[in-house]
Parts: sequence; structure tokens; C-alpha cells
Amino acid sequence: MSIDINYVFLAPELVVLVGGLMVLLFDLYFWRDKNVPLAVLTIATLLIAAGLTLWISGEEGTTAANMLIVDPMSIFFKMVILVSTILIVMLSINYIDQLKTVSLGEYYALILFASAGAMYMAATADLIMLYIALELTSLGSYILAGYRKFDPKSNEAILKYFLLGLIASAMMLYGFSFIYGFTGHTQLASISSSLTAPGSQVVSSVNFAMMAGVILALVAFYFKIAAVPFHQWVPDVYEGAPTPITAYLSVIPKAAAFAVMARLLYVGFPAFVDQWKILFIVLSIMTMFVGNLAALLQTNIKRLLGYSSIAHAGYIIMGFAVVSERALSGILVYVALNIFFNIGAFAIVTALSDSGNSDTLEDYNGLAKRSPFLALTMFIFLIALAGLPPTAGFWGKALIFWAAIEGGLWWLAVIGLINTVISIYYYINIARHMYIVEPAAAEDIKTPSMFRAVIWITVIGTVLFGVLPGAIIEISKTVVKGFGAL
Amino acid sequence: MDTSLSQMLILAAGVFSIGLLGALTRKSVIIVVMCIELMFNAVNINLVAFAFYSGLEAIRGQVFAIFIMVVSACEMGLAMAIAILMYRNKGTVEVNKANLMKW
Repeated sequence: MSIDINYVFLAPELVVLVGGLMVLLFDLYFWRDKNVPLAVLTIATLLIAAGLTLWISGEEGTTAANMLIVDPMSIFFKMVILVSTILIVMLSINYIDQLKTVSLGEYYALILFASAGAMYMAATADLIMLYIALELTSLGSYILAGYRKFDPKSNEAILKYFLLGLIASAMMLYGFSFIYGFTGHTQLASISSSLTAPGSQVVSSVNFAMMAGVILALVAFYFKIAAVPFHQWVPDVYEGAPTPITAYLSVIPKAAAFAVMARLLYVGFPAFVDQWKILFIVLSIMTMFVGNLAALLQTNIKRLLGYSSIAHAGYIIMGFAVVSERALSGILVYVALNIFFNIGAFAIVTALSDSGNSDTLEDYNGLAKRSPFLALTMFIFLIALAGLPPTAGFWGKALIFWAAIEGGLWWLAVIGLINTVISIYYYINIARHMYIVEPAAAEDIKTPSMFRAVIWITVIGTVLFGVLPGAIIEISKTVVKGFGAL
Repeated sequence: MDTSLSQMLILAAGVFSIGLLGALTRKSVIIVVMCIELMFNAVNINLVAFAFYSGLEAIRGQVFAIFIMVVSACEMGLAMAIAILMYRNKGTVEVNKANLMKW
């Protein structure tokens, strides 16, 4: 028996992995000023991978002995991951320069490896592959979170992230072992068919143990997206990690985890749909309230954005509580457009802390006088984060709330709206600091050109998709149709 | 064979619980990581037991266990690196001393 491997389908991930190894090698050859060449190599790798992903976007099939799947869903999430990784590498160039560290190669290589893991997560159709992909992403992002070796806060970030992440993945594996034990399969499609097969004993007789397995299997992904009982690491890691890596953690592992959750739930365990609906309703309500209420009390902008990203996870989980095509396409739109305003907001935080400020809200006092460009763009990102209409943040939320009302969960949509109103308070509070409070120092803030480039790209994305969301909504609808699980 | 599948599952559940309890209560990073390693090994017992007693696509469970061992070896390497980093910067490896950031 030969194993059938279609290398064309594997190409984007292979390019990213080989690019990571090349970055590590070139790191040895350049002696000084190696930051820009390495970053250029990284971005070129990611662009090639994005091109290859688009090239295979029309096709469907499996590869590597049915372990990886190529379908519109995985292509969509791979593109989200690649685009946001490019933005984060651009964001890192000036930041790393100012750290004056010697270990540059690792930084870019680990970003590439972690992104390759995230791409595998988006494409996986097998529990074994899923575990390997998850750990590839996790190990990369653990090390990146602790990249500033001599900063005690960064040490604390990696310690907390690592220990809690290990416990979460041990729980996930315990769940996987029960799923394997009761169904006899590790492939999601076979698991699903053995659960729903006529005369199947699994759902009826060992219901409880199997359900415990499903709930445990989801733990590592709750951890990655920061849903509430597993959210404690978020503010500390977001504060301690280097700011571009904070942006990385708030976008890429999350996008991959949402892709995995969609695949696990819709392809693997549709037999348990009534049970996980209730689970996600409870989780969504808790996540939204904890995220938004804790964000009200924060004085550090990175912690505030951390809690706000917990709240965002709550809105997205609401899409899983409502099982419909519109809810799933709402999740896709939310995750895709999130990259623009989330990375944009973190780009401004990076630009400010790079120019000698710290990350407290007081440092944003009178930003409008010191740098009108940063203040205005930050204001646009804040509107988008709050989810108000003329920006990209509105559409994902609107689709998910609409799906909730359609699905008879109108009260869940009302809770979501209440939370949106709470969130407007702390976003506008940042705007108040920027526009109304007088600055302590008066000198202008200089923004390096790379930050400006990232901020321009993200602000154009935020406004453009906010005004003309038709294209992305159409794409997400096609992807959901191609997913075919509903 | 004298042991049955349910005995193996009870053993695994016991090892997993001991690991979780230790990970949540111990202070030293090294011992916390050792306890987490127990949790991984409980999973391995589960997988191998299921594979042994079911026979259905049995090889997958055993392969899965080998993959878990390999990945957790990588994780232990990282854990030691973190412990050394923490000792250099703080002079201690107790997790409750990592309290710069709260709430």
C-alpha cells in the first residue's frame, strides 16, 4: 500500500517551512545590518506561499494519506494567516531594530514556523495531524512571547503562557483519546460517520464519556481563542510579550483555532449538535461579559486590548451557538476583517512604545496634538473594534447577531448588543485621552516609515471593507457552501 | 491477559488526576512540568489501551502515542530553558514569584 501525497496541495506550507530554515541559515552569513535582508526574505517567502495558495484555490481534495484537506475553507483561513503574518513581519522590522538584539534569525524563523503550524491547523482532517499542527504553532508562539530574554515581564509572559498552554493541550489529548477509543478512528470524517451510523452504540450508550471527550477536546482551542474559563493568561501575556507578537497572538493562533473548531464541530461531531449549542451559548455570554467588564478597569493599553480581544472571542463564539450558514459566514467575515483593525491598533501601540513612551493610557494624553496621524487612525481602529457601522468591525458582528435573531436566539443578540454598548465606553475613553486631555510632553512623535506603511494598509482595509463589504461577504458565503457540512 | 480495558482506563484517569492536581498546587516550575508530563503519559496509557483492546484501526492509537512522546520531549526542552531563564533573572524557579503582572 502506497501513501498518496499530492505535493501541489502541500506546497504553501512547505514553502513557509523551507523559508523558515533559509532565514535561519542566512542569519549565519550576514554579520551586521541583517535585519532588513532577513525581513525581506521572510516577506518574500510569505508572498510566494500566498501566491501558491491562491493558485490551488479552485481545487478540492485531500493529501498526505487524508491527513490534510484542501477546500475553500482551508484556503480562506490560510490566506487570512498569510496576510496577517506579512503585516506583522512589516511591523516587527523597526521594533526589532530598536531592541539591539543579536538573535534576529530566530525571530523571523519562529514567526514562519508558527504560521506554518497555523496553516496546517486550518487544513487538518485528522486528530494526530491536528495535535502536531497545534504544537507547532504553540511552541513557536511560546518562544516569541518570551523573546525579550532579559525583560522580567517577558519572562513571566512565556512562563504563564507555556504552563497553561501545556495543561490545555494535555486536556485536549485526553479528550482525543476518548474520541479515538469510542469510535476507533482518528479521521474526522470517519469519526462522524461512525457516530451517525445506523445502529451505532456510541451516541446512545457511552454518550456521557464521549461527550466528555468532545468537551475536553475543545479545551485547547478555547485556550487559544481565550474563551472565558481559559482566558487568564491573556492580559499578562499580551502585556509582557513584545508588542508585534501581541498582535500576532491576537490574530493568527486565533484564526487557526476558529478554523479547527469549525471543522471539529461541523465535520467531526455533528451528532452532538444539541449539546454543543448549549455549551457555546453559556461560553459566549460569560466571555463577552468578563472581557468587557474587566476591560473597563484597565489602565494599560495592551491589557485593555487583551480584554477587548477576549470580548471579541465571545462575539465570534456566538456564531457557533447558532448553527446556520449565515452564522458560519459571519464567523469567517469577523475573523478575516479582524486582522485589519486589530493589527492596526497594535501597530499604533508599537509605534508609540517604540518612540520612548510606555503603554499606559496616560501616554496617550493629547496624542492628537503630538501626532494627528496616529490619533486619527487610532480613532478609526477604535470605532472598528467597537463594531460601529462605517468600519469593517461592523459587518462580522452584524452577520452573527442577524444569524442569532434568525435562529431564534434573539436574547443572545440582545446580550451581544448590551456588551457592545459597554465596550464603546472604554474605547471612547482612549479617544478622550487622545483628543481632550492635555499632553504632559509637547514634542512631536516620529513614526518610522514601516509603521506608517502598516497603518496605511490596515486603515485602508478597515474603511474599504467597512464601506464595501459585498466582496468579502460573497467570498465567505461561497466558502461556507463549499464547506458543505450544513 | 488478566487486565481489562476498564482497569487501564481507571489507571489512566488516576494518573491524569494526580498530574493535574500536582500542576495546580506545586510551586516549583520543574515539578509543575513533571506533573504535566504525567498528564501526557496518562493520555498515552489511554491510547495504547484502546488500541490494544479494540483492534479496530489499532495502529493509529499507538502511532499517536509515539507522536505525543516526541512532541512532549520538545516541550520539556523548552520548559528547562524557561526555568533557566527565570532563575537567571529572578534567582528562583517558584511560580508564585512570577507576580509582576496581575489583573
